[in-house]
Amino acid sequence: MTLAPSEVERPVEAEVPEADFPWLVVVWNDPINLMSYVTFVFQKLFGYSKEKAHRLMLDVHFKGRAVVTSGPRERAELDVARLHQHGLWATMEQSG
Amino acid sequence: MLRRRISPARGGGYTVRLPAGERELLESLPEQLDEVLAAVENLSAGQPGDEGAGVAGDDDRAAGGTVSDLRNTSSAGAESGADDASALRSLRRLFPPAYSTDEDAQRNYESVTRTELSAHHRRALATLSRTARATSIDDEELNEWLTAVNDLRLVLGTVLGVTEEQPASATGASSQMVVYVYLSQLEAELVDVLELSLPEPVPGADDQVPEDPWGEPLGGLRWDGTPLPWDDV
Repeated sequence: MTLAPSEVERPVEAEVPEADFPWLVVVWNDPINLMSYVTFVFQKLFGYSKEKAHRLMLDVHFKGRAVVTSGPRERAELDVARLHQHGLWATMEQSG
Repeated sequence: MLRRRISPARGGGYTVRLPAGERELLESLPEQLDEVLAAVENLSAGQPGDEGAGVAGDDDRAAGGTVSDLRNTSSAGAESGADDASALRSLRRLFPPAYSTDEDAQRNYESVTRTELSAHHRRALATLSRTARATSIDDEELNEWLTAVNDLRLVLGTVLGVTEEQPASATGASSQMVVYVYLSQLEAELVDVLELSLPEPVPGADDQVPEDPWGEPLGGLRWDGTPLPWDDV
């Protein structure tokens, strides 16, 4: 176990094995879910502040999608499942 | 200022003040959706991305017919093949794919999560129906109200074809649309009151969100392959 460096250096892409790229959990815009509900779900599931949750919701609404969490594959699948339980359109994809 | 119709009660839980007509609706709507979910639970998992997969043959007919009932909650409507197709689409809305391109991964995800996801929806619907006439309910029950009302809106909104360009409006609308608009208003009230009991934000959680790797508005597609709203025009 090592201490985390105070500043993370950006790894050179070629040196990172594919499996090490984190998975991104993406929420997609949909015409039905209420904006206030989507904000509420982000706060409830991920412990974000209301301001952060609201900004993510606006990204979903205006950009069409937003990355809401990232991490190892198992964690991402769990987050997607929780979002599905709350009726949001969530998918996951590997970054990199 | 109007008193909230659903408000935190002294000593915990919530006080619910809704007219009898609304309670009657909230008691009966969940049963219809629950019948569909029960039918789906008995089916094997389908192919990802395949519209209505896993719901086939006689079960297809049974499930479709029930959602059509939901669709025709308070008006007469003819059963048809088109109704069945839209019913399946609307049901699909409650079981979205986690992987949009990797079929094997999606099949695995579905087999692992489907039963619990369905049970989650059904539990919430049962709670709403059971407590629709209660004047006092606890925190967990009110959270299940929100889940159930949202599920009902998702299915009804999909059946009605609600889009960004054609948002719901109660003006001159069908009775189903009136129910949809009613559920939307009730959901907003539920979010307003449940927001009050959210725990404090987790310290540092905001900073864990990765940068948006796509930057400004994307030119891609939705998970289901359909264009985004601004690509339609």
